[in-house]
Amino acid sequence: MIRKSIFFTLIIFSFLACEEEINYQGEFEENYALFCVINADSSKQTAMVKKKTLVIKVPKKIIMCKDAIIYLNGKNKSEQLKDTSLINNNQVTEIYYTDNFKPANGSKVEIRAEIPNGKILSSTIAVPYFTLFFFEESNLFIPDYDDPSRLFVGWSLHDGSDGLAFLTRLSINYTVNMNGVETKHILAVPVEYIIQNDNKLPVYPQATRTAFQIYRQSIIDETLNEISAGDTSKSSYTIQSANFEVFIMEQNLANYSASIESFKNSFSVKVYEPVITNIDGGLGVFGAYVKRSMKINFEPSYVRSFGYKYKKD
Amino acid sequence: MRGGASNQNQFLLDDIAIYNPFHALGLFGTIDPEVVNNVELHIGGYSAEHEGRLSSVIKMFTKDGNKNEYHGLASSSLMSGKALVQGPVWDGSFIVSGRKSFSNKILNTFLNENDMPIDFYDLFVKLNYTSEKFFPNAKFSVIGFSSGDNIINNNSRIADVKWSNNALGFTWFQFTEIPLFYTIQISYSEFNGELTPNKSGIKPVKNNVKDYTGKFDLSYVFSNKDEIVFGTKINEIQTNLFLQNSIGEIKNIGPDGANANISLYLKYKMLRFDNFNLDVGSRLNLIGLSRGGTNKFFEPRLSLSYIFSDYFSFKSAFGVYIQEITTLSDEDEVITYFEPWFITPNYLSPARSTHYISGFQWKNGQNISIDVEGYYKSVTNLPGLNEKKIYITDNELVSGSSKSYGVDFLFRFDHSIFNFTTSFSHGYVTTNLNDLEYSPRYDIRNSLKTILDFNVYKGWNASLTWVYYSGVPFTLVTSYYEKLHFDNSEDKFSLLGSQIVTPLLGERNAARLPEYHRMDFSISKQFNIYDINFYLSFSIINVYDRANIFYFNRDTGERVNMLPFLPTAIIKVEL
Repeated sequence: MIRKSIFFTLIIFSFLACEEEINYQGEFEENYALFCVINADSSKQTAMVKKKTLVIKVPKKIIMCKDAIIYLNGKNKSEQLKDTSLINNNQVTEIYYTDNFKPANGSKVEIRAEIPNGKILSSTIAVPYFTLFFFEESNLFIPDYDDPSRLFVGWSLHDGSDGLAFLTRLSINYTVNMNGVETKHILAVPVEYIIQNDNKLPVYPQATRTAFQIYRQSIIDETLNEISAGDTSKSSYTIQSANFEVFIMEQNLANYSASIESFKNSFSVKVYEPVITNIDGGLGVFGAYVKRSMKINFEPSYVRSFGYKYKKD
Repeated sequence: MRGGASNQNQFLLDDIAIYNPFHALGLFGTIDPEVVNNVELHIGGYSAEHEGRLSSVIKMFTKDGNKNEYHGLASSSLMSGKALVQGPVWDGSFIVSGRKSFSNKILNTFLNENDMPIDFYDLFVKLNYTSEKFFPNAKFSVIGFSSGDNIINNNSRIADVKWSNNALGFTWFQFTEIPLFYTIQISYSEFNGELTPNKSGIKPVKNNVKDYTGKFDLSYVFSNKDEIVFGTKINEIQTNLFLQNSIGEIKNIGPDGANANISLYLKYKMLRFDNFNLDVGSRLNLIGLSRGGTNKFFEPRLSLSYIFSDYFSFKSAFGVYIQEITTLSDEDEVITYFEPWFITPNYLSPARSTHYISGFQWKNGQNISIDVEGYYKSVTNLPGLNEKKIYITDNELVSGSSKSYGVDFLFRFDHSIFNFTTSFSHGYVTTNLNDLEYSPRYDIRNSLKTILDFNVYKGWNASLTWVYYSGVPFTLVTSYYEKLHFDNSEDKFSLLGSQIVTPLLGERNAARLPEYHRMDFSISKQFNIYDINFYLSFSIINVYDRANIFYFNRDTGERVNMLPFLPTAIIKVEL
């Protein structure tokens, strides 16, 4: 009796002791992600379709979708995007493109993608609209004459459609002369550098609804130094000008872009990026933007103080 | 407890807040049981003198030390060793206790490489002074406490965690001829916690809490045994929380400045009747004064009990509770390794819970008692991560709500040969946050604890404990997709930008982890040789070697289990 009791107790314990596997994978649904950002200043548009996958741990490769039928439909206009392959960083990327679709300001644009298995992805947006855009100061210099500690760029936008947001970029145009061969380069100026483990990491402007951007002069100085970092032959470098661009995004693109930057730059315990999408039937983003830009000149003596040459373009 | 997150439970050591009262893996509390005089557990519906947390208050009162003789105690087990000294000093007494875990080489014999080594210490010092000549009817106590824990993993793909508690307090207890007594206490408590990612992919976290408290409590006992109790508390809490963003920058998100609060309470206890007790009172909280806050919060409390007979009694309680400190965690994580403390930001109101509790006790007058208690608890202004945060200027936290309800059973049977106690809880919790309703990670549907103590033979006592918890909720991953990130290339919105593999999660917390259950066995005997007390105990933790989860990372698949089958022995010598 005692032996039987011990035997059955051991049997029960052996079952209770089993390590239960954790099945952390939910029910997989085949789905696709569609990415398309309309440049409303151009007739060249591209789109991409990718398939979701479910693999153990983190997948090594996500499948691109070929042979999808993708249309862009605008005001009195419908254009099918052609399928092509591009090699980017030794990887083949399937891109759908057209060079014949320029939407009108403020017009509605629809994208519709039919996947070979019959699934439809679609979305409709309104191209950014405004009656007037201008920079508050059109003749800026670096360093700024009024406040040499910073560069302030402001702009005004009138009668803009709802939900518009801005993304800015300040770039330095320069050339490098190596052994008589001159090459053109562009380097973006961050709003901040942070030091992490002896590495200097740039932090670029994020999407905002405020109509100005400020760059500290010290950061511009640091970026100019970065141009020739480690090269003692400073005179090989010729600084030409700076270009300030404002990308005016409609709300969907603004939300998508802002959510990515916000997650990247936020100090949070959040583990995963939020999933922001405006694609019906799938994931991804369909958005549009227009761009306005202005040239900012450098003060020649300032450029030469770095050892560079200066040539106004 | 009762559907509340761990941060909703207040742990007090002689009325000083301790922010993480557990040593590694929850096997031990940070307070050595040898210094504990008594424990009060107030699970919901607690009266007006208790505050600061939404769910429960656990109060541990320590011994004063032997006022007449010096005593010492030393004990050792496979996992830790401890020593305790107590005795008279001047017109008072002292007690000092210290514990330290042993080298993990012993434990590693039983642990596989996926389980975590335990490394901890704690030190408790208490000095008491009474002098009828200089301070009649008064007692002064000074308490110092320090504890530290390290979880250092052999596997570099799992993060390391360490934390420490330090506390210092001074208490003056005064009894007067009128049946009136009061207590004045000033205390300082500090918590430090740090998470080091190694190669786990988790971001580093550094957390610090500083709690400065001064309180005054006054009780007056009427001739009919009723009591009136009044108190005030001034409390300043500062949290520092260093987090890292995805580009490697580290920042203290604070919040800025400390949070000073003043609270007052008043309560009346009706004890004049033998079979009916009533406790009614309220707190008034002025929160966030140092940050410009002018909010006042009332916390009414009511509890009553009625004894129908020697066999049957009824009790009921109601209360409103405020909590202005929380811990941060992401519900998308399967199990959170470390939850840092954080004062509720100014843009949110403090969390508030309302308790409704009712229950009864039945006894057969001899050796059986059954307690049944039902509860309903609603929480508003529950802080949680803002899942809809799009712009960096959007608030990190938002307010949500939660509801919990359930029933607790406690059954006791006392026999000359054995004692049997079992407690069972069945409850439900739902949280509503970001317009989403789900079961939070602390929604434990059923929990059962059974303890059987019995005399084996000639003074040998055995104890068998079985603990069971239902699996806690977690979120499944349904798929992955490559999310386009716009790089800073010439074409700002190029589709050839970075493609970041991003998991897509299923319905929030719709799945459940495996259940937790564990059986422990111990057998012990106390005996005396030449006026020296010896205590010998052999025990087995996790008798059937259940692989209970401690940590699981969904993205890397790394899993850490709690302690496996672990035999240990304790020898204690008391002089």
